[in-house]
Amino acid sequence: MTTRAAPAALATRPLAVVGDYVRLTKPRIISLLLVTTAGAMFVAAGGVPGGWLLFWTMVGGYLAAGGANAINHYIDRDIDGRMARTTERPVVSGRVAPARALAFGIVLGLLSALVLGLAANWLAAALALVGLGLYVGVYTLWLKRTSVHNIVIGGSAGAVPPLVGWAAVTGDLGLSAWLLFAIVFYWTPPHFWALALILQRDYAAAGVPMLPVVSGIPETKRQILLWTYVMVGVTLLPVVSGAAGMLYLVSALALGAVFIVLAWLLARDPGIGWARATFHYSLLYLALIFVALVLDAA
Amino acid sequence: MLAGGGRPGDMPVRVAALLIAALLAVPASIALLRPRRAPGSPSDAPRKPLDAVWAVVPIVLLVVLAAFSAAA
Repeated sequence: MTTRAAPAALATRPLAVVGDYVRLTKPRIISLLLVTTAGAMFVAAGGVPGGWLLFWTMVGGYLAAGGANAINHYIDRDIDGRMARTTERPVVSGRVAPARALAFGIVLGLLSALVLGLAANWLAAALALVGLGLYVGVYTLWLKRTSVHNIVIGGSAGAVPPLVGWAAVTGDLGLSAWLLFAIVFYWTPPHFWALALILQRDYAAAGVPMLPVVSGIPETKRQILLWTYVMVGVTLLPVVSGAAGMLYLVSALALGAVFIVLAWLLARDPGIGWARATFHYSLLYLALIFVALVLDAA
Repeated sequence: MLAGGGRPGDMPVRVAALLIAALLAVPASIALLRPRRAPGSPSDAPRKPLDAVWAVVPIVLLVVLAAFSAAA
């Protein structure tokens, strides 16, 4: 039995290593970032962008975000061990050496700049590196452990992918590109704080000053509702600028109304029963907002 | 969607969108500048000077983008 199991274990080990390195990039989070990148590309092109440009921009976007996430694993390995949700991450569990995770992240970041610079343009490449720098420098190293505004300001890193997509198609950044940035920027707090409500004990244990830990649950729920109002208002700005039309306006209002109802139910709930639904809907919401923008632009 | 220009024929839609956006975002933004603190909550800790700056950044960004959108 032992003689048969050993080769099987050896055979699966390389796959497990690859799996750990893929996990370092946090692929589930990146998938939504790439939706916003692709959405911005379709909108900027007024239809379907070039196939290879779309492909290589997705590759470059994945590498940039994956590099940032790998470096985040390296930096946060101390607090990851104190949070139930993150104790099995590759670095903190010892499956990937910290220095290797750091090197992996840096290499991915450099590769992303190379891919985007050669396949699209150097503005897109520079923006991808700015996003990486914001996530690593402003969010992970600076604000995450020191400020209750960590998600609002540090979260701007997650709003950079639409700028990358827009720049890859047009080579510049117009007002519409910044409006797409703003949609993701104002979406991030209600989205993330809904999750932070669920994970507040983890964040408290790790000493991370997320809003529920610092200001309490009632204030967090109140701010989720207020930020949702602001966010829905911001999603209407592409219509205000004349860049999007009636189809998008109706879609943004309908999608936003559902978000507001969920945030309102969460705010009125004595517990956090609606936090999970709000969080999951927020993921769908952002994707659908970008789909609506694409359909409106087509 | 255009890179900067508008659709002149859709002016009533643009104005309606601006009014709805203002109705949603302005009162909420004002409320966000005045966070509530429950007595005895962990937030009784003194705030850092930079926190005041961070708090107004999203509001300033909103005002700037709304102004540019309306002027487009």
